[in-house]
Amino acid sequence: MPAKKPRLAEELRSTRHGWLFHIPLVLMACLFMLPLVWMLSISVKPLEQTTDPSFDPLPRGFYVKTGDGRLLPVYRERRLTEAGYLVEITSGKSPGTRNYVRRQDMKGEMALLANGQMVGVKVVQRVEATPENPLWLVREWREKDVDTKGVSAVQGDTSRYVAVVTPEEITEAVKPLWVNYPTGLRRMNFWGALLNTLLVCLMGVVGVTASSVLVAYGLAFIDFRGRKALFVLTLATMMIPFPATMVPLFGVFRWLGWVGTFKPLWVPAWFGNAFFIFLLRQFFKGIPKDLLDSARLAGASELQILWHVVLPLSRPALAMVALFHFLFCWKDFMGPLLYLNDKARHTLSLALQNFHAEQGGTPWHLMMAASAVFSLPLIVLFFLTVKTFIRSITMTGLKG
Amino acid sequence: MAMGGRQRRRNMVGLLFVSPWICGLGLFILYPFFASILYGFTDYSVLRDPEFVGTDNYAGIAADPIFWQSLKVVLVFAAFSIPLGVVTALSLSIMLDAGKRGVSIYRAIFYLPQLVPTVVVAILWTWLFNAEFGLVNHILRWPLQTFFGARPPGWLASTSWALPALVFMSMWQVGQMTIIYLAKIQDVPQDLYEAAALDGAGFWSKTWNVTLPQISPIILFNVVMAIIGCFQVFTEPYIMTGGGPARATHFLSLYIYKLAFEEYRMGYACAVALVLFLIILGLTMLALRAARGRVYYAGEEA
Repeated sequence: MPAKKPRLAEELRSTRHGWLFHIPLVLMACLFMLPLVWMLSISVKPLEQTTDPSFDPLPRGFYVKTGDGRLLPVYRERRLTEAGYLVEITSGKSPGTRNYVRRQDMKGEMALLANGQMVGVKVVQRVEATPENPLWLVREWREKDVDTKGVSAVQGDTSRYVAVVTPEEITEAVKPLWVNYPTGLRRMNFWGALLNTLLVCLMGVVGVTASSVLVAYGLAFIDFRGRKALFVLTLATMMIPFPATMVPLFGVFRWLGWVGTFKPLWVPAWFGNAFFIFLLRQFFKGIPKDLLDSARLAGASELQILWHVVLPLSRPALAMVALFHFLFCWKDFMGPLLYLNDKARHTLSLALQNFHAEQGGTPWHLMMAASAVFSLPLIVLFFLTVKTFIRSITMTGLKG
Repeated sequence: MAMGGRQRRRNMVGLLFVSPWICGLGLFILYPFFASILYGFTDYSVLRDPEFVGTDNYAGIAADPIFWQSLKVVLVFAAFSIPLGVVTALSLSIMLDAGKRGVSIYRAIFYLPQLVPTVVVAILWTWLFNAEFGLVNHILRWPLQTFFGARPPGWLASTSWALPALVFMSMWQVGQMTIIYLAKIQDVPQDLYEAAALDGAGFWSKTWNVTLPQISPIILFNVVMAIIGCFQVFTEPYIMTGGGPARATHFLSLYIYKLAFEEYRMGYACAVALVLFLIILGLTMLALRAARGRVYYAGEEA
C-alpha cells in the first residue's frame, strides 16, 4: 500500500534525480548543434579541406620553407607513395608548370599525366616515395584560390612554387580562412539580395500587423452582422494549403502586371492574415470589456479605443505577429521562386539557391560562409528578444 | 428606431474594420481557391485560354503513376515524420521540465535550427548527407563497419534512403513544438501531480496519467497542423533532390509546382491540387475523429 508521503520528501526526491535527465538532454543538445558547428567549421576552411577524409573540424594552413628561406603557404595537392619524378611540362595545354609523374608513366621525353594527357616533360627532380615514407606534392597557395571552382583550376599558373617535400618539412597551423566570407557573399550577390529581402520583409511586417490588428479588433469587439460567419470562414481558410490556390493566384498577379516585382510578396500582407487575425482576436478577447465600455461612454471612437486602450495592452501579441511574419519573409523560398525571375530582384533565399544550383555544389566553403551570414540575423534577433520570442512561440499554441 | 440606427452604425463601423480582410480573403484566398476548382475541369496553360474538358483531368489523375508515387511519398513521409517528431518533442519537453535547470539554454539550442532559413537547411544537409564527405556517414561509418560489416548508405543519391534522410532531417526542426509542449506542461496544475504523488505515482506514471492527458489538446492541434504541413513540403526536395532519385522524394506539392510552372499544365495542376486539399480534409477529419474521447479538455469552453 502506498504510504502517504510528506510533500517535502517528494520534492527532495525529484530534485535529487533531476540531474539524470541532463545526460540525454546534453546529448541531444550536442546533436542539435552539430550541423551548425559543422557549417561554421566548413565556412572557414580552404576548398580542399571540405573534402578531407580525416574530417578534421579545425581549418588548417600548411607552410613550406622555400630555398630562399621564405615561409610559403601551400596546399598539399597529392600524397605520393610511389617512386617517380617531379617534371616540368614542355608541351600541351599548360607548358611551364610542374607536376608529378609516376616512374612507369614516363616514356622517354614524354609522360602520361593523371588526367590521361600525353605531354612532353623535362625532369626536375627524382622522387623516391614509398608507402612507408610518403612524400607530398605541394603547390603554392594564394588567397585568390578561395574564389576558384576547384584546386585544379590553378594548374596552368606557371608562377607558382611547386615542390615535393617530406611530411616533416610541412609546418601546420590552425588558420581560419576569414576571406571565405567576403568572397562567398560576393559570389552569392548577398548585399543586393539583402536589400530586396529587407524591403519585402519590412513592407510585409508593417502591413500584416496593421491590417490584422484592425480586423481582429472588429471581430473581437464590434458586434456587427455577419461577424460570426466571417470568423468561422477565417478559421476554415487556414485549412486551405498553398498549392490549392497557387495557380489562379499567379494568374491574379499576372493580370495585375505584378509578376517580376516584389508586390506579390508584400501587398497581400496589407489585407491581413488568417492565422494572425485568429491569434490577435483570441488575445483581444482576454482584455476586460469594462475598459472598452467606459471608453465608449466617454465618447471615444472605436479607432481611438483601439489606439489608446487595446494596443497598449497588446504589445506581446503585436510583437508575436511582427516577429513571425518577419521570420516567414526572411525564410520564404517558394514565393520568391514563383514571382521573381530577374537576378537583380532575388531575395536571399533565391540568391543562395541560385549560387548552389549554378556551382553544381562545388565551393562548399563559400556556400557555408554565405549560409552562415544569411542565418545570423534571425539568430541575433532571437537572442536579443528571447523573452518576447519564447512568449510568441507559446502564444501560437494558444488554445489547442 | 434609435436601436436600429445604432445597430446599423455598428454594422458599418464593424465592416469598415474588417474590410481589408474581406478584400484579402476574397482576392487572395477564396477567388483563387474556387477558380482553382473550376480550372481543374479545364485544359489550361499560359499560352492558351482554359478549355472545358469535363472530368478528363480527374480520369488522368487516377491513371497517373507519378501522382500515385507523389502521394505515396507524402504519406510515407507523414507517417514517419509526424509520430517521430511528436515523440522527440514530447520527450525533450518532459525531460526539460523534469531536469529543471538550464531550461533557457536548452530551449535556445533546440529552437536554433528553426531559425535557420529553409534554403540553408536544405543546402547544409545536402552536404551532411554526402555519401563520401558527409558528416552523417563519417559518424556512421565506423559503427556500421564494426558491428554490421555494412557500408553507410548513399542517402540522397539512393532510391531507398533519400526519403528516410528527409525524415531524419525533419527531426532537426522540432524546437517550436518542444517549446509549446514545455509551456503547456508547466501550465499543468501542480496539485494534480501532488495528488498523483499521494497515490504513490512515480515519474513514468505521472507522465503517462497526468502530463500527457493534460496536454493532449495541443498535441492534437500540432498533429493536424503537421498533416497540412507535410502536404506543402516543397523547398527541401526542390533543392536537395529535385524529387529524385527515381522520384523517391517526389512530394505532391513539388509535383503540382512542376506541372503548373515547368510543364504549364495548369488545369491538370489545379485538379491535383484539389485532390490534395480533399486528402488533407479527410486526414484532418480522421485525426479529429480518432482523437475523440482520447483528448482531454479541462472543462474549458470558449
